[in-house]
Amino acid sequence: MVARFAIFWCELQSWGPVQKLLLRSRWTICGVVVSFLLSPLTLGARSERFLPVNKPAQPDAIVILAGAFEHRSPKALALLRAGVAKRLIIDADDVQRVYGETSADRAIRIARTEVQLASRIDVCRMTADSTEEEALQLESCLRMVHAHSAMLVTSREHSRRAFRVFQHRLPQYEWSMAIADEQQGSTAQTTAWSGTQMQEWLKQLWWAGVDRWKSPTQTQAALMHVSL
Amino acid sequence: MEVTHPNAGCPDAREFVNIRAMRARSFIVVFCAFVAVTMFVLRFSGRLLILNNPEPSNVAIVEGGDDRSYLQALALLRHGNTHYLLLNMDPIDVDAGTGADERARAFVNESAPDVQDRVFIIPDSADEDEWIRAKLHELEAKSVLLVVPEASSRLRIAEFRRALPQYRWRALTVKYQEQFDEHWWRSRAWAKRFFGSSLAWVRWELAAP
Repeated sequence: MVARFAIFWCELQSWGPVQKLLLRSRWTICGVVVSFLLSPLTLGARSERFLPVNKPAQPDAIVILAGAFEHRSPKALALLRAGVAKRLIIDADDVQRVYGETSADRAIRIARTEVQLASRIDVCRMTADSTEEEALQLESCLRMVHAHSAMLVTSREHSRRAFRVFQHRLPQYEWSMAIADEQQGSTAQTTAWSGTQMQEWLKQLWWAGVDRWKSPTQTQAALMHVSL
Repeated sequence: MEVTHPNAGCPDAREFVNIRAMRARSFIVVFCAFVAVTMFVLRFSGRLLILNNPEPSNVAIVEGGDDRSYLQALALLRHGNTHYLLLNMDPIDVDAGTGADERARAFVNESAPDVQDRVFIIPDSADEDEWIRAKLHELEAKSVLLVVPEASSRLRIAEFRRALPQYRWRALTVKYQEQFDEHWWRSRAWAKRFFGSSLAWVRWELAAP
């Protein structure tokens, strides 16, 4: 034991200052790395604290972001009924066809069942496969309804990244956020939720490290139009 | 000329220097080997997600995907490669009028009137696993062909094999070119699907009993 310590001490004498500093602060470094890895889980779970939720009070439009429509639409329709905004835009995929219908077709059909509100609902047909592309494609839909501010409706875990992406790509609009919560109950749901959190974390890293620095034209590819 | 190390006073200091140099070389070799192996694994990792071993089966299940999977399975049914078709495609949002399964039934009746009595659609309210289990039992199936998108084929087969080991499971993959390809690093969408499916697979392997 003493001999080992002697050898280690001798080696330490020949180490550079950076190596010594790393050795002394190894636990601090470990702590920082672990905190960094865990932060998306903790911050993601309470993301609304860092977002302008339900502000501004009177956005020009409410936008349901594509995906999990059945969970997000009740919240958005409730906001529309409450008079928070004059228009509701539904982002919907127009590529995948299930039983003869795309998500956009279904959104139009569902919008028509809301008799009182149908005239205030637009469906933005999309080919986007990412939040980044969605932001770029939504821009033309917002222009068509002459909106200058919009409230995004999405899930809790998606809210942080969505807000950042939309604010970064379309800074000319005023953005706010409404969170549509999904029920978390069973173990299976909790497992699925933790998986979603992990995926969301990877997407946030990808956004911060890669997509954020790309010019918008690199991701703008699809045609789009609003159909009533 | 003899080189004097700063810590020459230490026992066998020069030996330490040699050992450290050797360690550094070993580290570089190991690191390069690690990078090479990682690159090799990643190069072929897309294939690991895909399992395509179709053969005629009593029942075919369309699991996930969209109408492209359905049409492929319908062709199998019409050519006698399977006797029955169970549809469990990606869920449809339910609206105020007709339910998703009613619309699905209307679509099947319209697109396949000749075989509609051999096509079964999972009801809106049903538990997927229980419904498939009961239906396979009712149809006295021995072998099942899973018609499934490429990226999730191996995972889906593993799930079904573990849940219902009494059946012979086979997979027919359907190509969704805009979503996934084994050369996943060439497209953002492919890479996204690759990481999502890989993560799901790892999670399932870790979580499964």
